[in-house]
Amino acid sequence: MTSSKTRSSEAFFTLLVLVVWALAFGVFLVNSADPTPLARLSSTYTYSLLWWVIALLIFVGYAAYDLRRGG
Amino acid sequence: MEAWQITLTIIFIYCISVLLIGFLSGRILKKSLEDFYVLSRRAGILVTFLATAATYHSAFAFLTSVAVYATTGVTFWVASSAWTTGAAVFMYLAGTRLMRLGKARGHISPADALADFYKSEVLRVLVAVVMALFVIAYIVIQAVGLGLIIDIGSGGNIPYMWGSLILMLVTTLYMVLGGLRAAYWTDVLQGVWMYVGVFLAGVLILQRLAPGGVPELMDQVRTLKPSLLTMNWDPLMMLGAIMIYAPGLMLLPHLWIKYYVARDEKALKASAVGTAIYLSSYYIPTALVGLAAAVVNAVGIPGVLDKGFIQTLTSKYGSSDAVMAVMIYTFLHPVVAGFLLAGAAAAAMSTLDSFLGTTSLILVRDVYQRYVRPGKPESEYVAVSRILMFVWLLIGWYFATLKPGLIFDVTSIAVAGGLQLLPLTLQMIIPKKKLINKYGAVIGFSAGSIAVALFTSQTGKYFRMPVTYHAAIAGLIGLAINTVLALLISAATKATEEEKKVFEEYKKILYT
Repeated sequence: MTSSKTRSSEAFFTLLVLVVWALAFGVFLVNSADPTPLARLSSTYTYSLLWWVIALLIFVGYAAYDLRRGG
Repeated sequence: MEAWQITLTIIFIYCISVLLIGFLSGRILKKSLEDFYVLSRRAGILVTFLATAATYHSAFAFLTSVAVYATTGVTFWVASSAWTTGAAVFMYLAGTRLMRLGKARGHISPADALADFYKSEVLRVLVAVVMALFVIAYIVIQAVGLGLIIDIGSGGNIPYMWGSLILMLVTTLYMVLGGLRAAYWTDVLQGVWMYVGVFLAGVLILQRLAPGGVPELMDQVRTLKPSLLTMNWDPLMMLGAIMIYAPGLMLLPHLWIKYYVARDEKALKASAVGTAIYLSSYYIPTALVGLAAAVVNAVGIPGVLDKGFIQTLTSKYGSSDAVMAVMIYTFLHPVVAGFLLAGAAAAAMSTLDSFLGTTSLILVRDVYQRYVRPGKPESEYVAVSRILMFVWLLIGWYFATLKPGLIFDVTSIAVAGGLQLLPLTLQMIIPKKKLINKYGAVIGFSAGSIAVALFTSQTGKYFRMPVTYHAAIAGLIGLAINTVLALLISAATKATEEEKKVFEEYKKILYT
């Protein structure tokens, strides 16, 4: 059984996923071996690591919200 | 005891453990296909999560990721962080819908589901056979990985081809004993072992080669080969890699059937979250080992590893996949090396077992049971499944002895094939408007799969194709041809009444 509220939040999450995953390609804008303050990683690596953390947080956050109201 | 004997003893203990689990799970196995393959749809969060994660990560994760890091640098992280988390999100969104449909309509394989939705027996056989063929590439790379692990772990005393055969036999044996139930149970052990192992390997090797930690390693790489710290693929290659390793891999039969294993949607969704964290974080320690290997390769360590050792490995094994195993065997204590190489074997075996199981499932359930000997007792189908596992083992092993090249490239062929199921599957799990009918599905899927074979470098040469690409790009080309044809043919033909009726039933299952 899927309520219309569940369906619309799922649709919103799907759209958000497409936008966030498109941002992963932003790495090409900062593609350099220059070190950053984060453990002297390159700017490419740093951008990608930060993108990963944000993407994971969004997913975990949505899942927590979704599962709390019954999945 | 020599170092290689200690290492091999630990790998042997690991093999005994998985065989024991296979034996125990076989003792409680009911002789029905549903129990043999999908645990009677009763798995909890832990089993569903670890079975999915350990199956997704294979010899690819433990071996080739290090090889790709060592040769193309952080490019692998940039793409893999997007595809691993993407795969888990796909599991969360699409997997739950497939699960709901599977429970309502009794599906236990992709061919089952698609043939039911499109009301096409042609599609059933087509999906079963094409997927079984693409999956061979995946079985081959596990065989390659197992051969490398034993060859290096034994200090060359057990050659690659025999090492591969021995570990493949162990895998097949526990599968024959306990079916996919054994695979799910062993996946729990293997999933934990390989995860702990890879982090241990990353930390220990970093400590040994760059005592100053990550900043020191980064500076070493920046000095020797700065391009390893940048993205070296173009956006199209990155897009192709994300598409084939996120939806493409998650649509291959061995992962598709995991959606049917979970006891309910909450268990599957919670497993997807765990899967995202597990799969993506796995590539953090492999980056450390891969970049450390690149440094050693550039400067060499006298008396330990020669400068250019990666090139030497490539000429010996046909690819650079052995880098991780060599780093572990060379720089760590034999007991630790044994534990870690057993973790590498776990990574390969936990995927191989699912492949052997699901490929035999597809052929038995969708071809043998329906067209060869219908109406026979379930025990006969289980017996035939077991025989087919040995057949697939031998095919995979044969191709592995030919040393087919970098695991990453070979795997990409199989997952590019999996991606061709995407348009058909999306129509099935989003039944709002009927855009693809059975004619469009059959022609689109066939054309997409053929395009992958034609445009992929490793297979295209057999068809004398003037232009070929990496399988990631070929997968995108196949997907485009597949989607356009499926939509055009469907627009030009009419869905049957039976198809329309089923479409409405699917709509009810998913939307009411």
